[in-house]
Amino acid sequence: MMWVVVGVASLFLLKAGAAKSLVPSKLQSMAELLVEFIQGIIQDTMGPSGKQYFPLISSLFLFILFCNLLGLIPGTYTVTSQIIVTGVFAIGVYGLSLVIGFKLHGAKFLPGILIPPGTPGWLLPLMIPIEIISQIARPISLAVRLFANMTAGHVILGVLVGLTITGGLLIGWLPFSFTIVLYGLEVGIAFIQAYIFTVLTCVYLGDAIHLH
Amino acid sequence: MASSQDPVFAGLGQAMRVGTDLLAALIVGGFLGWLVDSYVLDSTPWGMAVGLVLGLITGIRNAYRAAQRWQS
Repeated sequence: MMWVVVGVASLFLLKAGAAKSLVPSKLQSMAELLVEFIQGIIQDTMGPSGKQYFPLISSLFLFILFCNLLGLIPGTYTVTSQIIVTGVFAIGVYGLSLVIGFKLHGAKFLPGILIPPGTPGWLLPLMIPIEIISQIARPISLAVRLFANMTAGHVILGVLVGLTITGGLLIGWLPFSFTIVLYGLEVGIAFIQAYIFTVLTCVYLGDAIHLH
Repeated sequence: MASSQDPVFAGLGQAMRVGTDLLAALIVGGFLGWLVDSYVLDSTPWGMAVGLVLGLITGIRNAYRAAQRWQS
């Protein structure tokens, strides 16, 4: 399924980028919107120095977005509803931010992320454990959020469809109408979760680059 | 497709972020405290209690900071 997602995403972008006309076609303007959207995220969260991470962040965003959206087609499988997938992404992103931070700032990076600026000395024994917890919680919340939203949405849809089938014609129309409404909501959630994952990736990388 | 400057879209993203952050910090705090309890100090249940409180503080502080950043 992952390869299917990669294939569909690449096909979409290759097809959209094939004809570079000045007045864009529907497909091309969709791709351009997507690219400008990702550029906007990077500009907002990382500033101009984030340009070099555009390939990483755009492929991450597109992969998660297509996983979420393709998983909504009945009969397919949602890759991002497995915590191992989202966990590997989250740990990879967080590890990358650590590597970049240590590469750019050297040994100054560790006190830089563990001590917030302007902390008085007597607060240090409290602030350092808090910051350690907050750093470890980053990849976990990143992974759990995507996984939980995807899984919960599909479980709710599954339960409602099951109710429709057991309810029969007499009462089954009620859960079925809920299914339609929730399906629209799920499409929105698929997009928003991909957006949040990307924004947080940018924020973590930006923290590692700028260090306050 | 909304742009990243769209206030509704960005606000929705912010709101969905905070809840999980609270929970994750609490879980990590409790887990670290439990680790200290069982493998380092053998001080059940104090490490986990302190860790949970620290995790709670962390989660609330992170949510507070996120809200502050959102206002500006």
